[in-house]
Amino acid sequence: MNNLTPEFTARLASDIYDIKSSLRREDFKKIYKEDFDVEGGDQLSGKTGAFTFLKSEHTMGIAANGKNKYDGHGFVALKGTASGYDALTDINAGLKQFHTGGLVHQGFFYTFQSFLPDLEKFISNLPVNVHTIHCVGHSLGGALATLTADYLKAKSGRTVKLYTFGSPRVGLEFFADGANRRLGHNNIFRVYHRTDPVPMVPTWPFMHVPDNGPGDLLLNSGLALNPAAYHKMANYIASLSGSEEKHNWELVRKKRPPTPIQRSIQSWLESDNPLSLTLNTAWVAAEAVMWVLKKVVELAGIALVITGSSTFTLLDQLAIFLQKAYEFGKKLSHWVTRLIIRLGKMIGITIKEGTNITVAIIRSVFLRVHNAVSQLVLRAGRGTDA
Amino acid sequence: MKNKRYETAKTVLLTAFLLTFIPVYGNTMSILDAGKAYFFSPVTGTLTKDEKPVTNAKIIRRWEHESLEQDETSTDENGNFTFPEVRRRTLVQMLPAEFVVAQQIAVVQGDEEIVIWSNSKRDSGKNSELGGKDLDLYCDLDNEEAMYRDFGAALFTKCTWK
Repeated sequence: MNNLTPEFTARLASDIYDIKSSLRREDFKKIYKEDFDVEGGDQLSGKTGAFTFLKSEHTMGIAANGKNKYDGHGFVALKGTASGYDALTDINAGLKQFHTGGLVHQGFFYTFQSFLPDLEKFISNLPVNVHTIHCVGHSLGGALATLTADYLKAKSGRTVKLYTFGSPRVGLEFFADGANRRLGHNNIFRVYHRTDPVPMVPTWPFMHVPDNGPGDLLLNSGLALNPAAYHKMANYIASLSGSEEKHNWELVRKKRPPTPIQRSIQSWLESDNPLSLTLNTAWVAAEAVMWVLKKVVELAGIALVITGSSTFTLLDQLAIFLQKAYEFGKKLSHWVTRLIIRLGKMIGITIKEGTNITVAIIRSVFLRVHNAVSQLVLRAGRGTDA
Repeated sequence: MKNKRYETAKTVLLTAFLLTFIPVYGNTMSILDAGKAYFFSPVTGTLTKDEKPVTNAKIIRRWEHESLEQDETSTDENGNFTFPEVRRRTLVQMLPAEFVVAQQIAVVQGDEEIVIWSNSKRDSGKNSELGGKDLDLYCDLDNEEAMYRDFGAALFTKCTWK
């Protein structure tokens, strides 16, 4: 057994929510008593054991060593929280340098820092026979699992595997690339539904770990529910509960809906058709932004200059970056112009072809797209419960 | 005169509004409860031990979302007990975040509490605890606690239902 199955992982990402309430903490141990060593972790007696609660303002997750079938395996599971959403959609949220290098969202960084002492305890008590550690999380718990996996890989010397469901983006490109490389492409399973709004934030240039390749496990949302309901763990479990794919990641990979090929992104950018911003169209815009950005970087060799200051605003940097690309060459500036025109159209601003695209225009379009996407994400929850 | 006509029109409109909307929310619920999440669906139950009714037993129900709350009842001479629904507004309904309410029902026997129901409610709808079925429970204190995984979270209980 190398990888956890899709079914086991999705169940764990859902069950970990039980540890927040003292009413259910012992039940969580009961569910997993045949899989994990659940001795210890008793917060009242202060006894130490293999089972570790990862604590921030409240209990955020657990770290445990496997037994029976999972002998030789370590586990970290982290839950999401409703209190992190403001930070996710706040463009002025600062960035922090992560331990392994690269800039990450400061909200995730501070939560990670708060349970780091518990995580260190777990690492220092890892039995020698543990060869693989599995990190699992849903939603904001997925972001924390990503940081934890990257940290464990650097500090533990073990193979580390990362499984996330509906995770937001955690850091900028340098962090995302580094984490991908350190963990290894075959050790990451990032599962997300196409209309799940949470993986759409924080908006670009935050990047996913990974943004493509075998670990990028896109699932179709279906049309039965409010698109945002596909963020719920119950719907991830449902999407992975087919009698075969619940055992096999390769079959989950095969469920991937077709992605727009380069040509269709180009024609989306070239089109003058009307456009509105919804959860079903936002991802196409995101693909287009990524495509243009990659073109800019490849052709012009411009690096995104980033300062570590916490007062740094991403939008200014981006605007300056794209402006540079616009000035650079005709071919490039064409795609940058088209991108700004199309993004403008999504939020109801008309920009005529031939308009002199200034930093101020780019910045204002980005700012308004950012606001619109944030509103979409915040509003998405309404109607899924009630 | 004009004012009076205006008042009449207002009354008619208000009445029409109330007649239109009240039936939507049913008879037992207050109009103010519309849109509130079910933290605990209404419970009816029968408590037995050795298949005989347990009478006048104190039963404590607890639930926790952002904070831990509880209420109490007692069984009657036939071992029957009921708890009303618990409905609250929660921020989670406004966000694409997980809905999680920890639930517990415990029977007080001497100095001891025996937990007969421990669950996480993972959907804000009525009766989501049992996948839409009423929480009409038969609980024997001698029953082994069983784990059910059919309704989302793991439910541990000594009770059965139809």
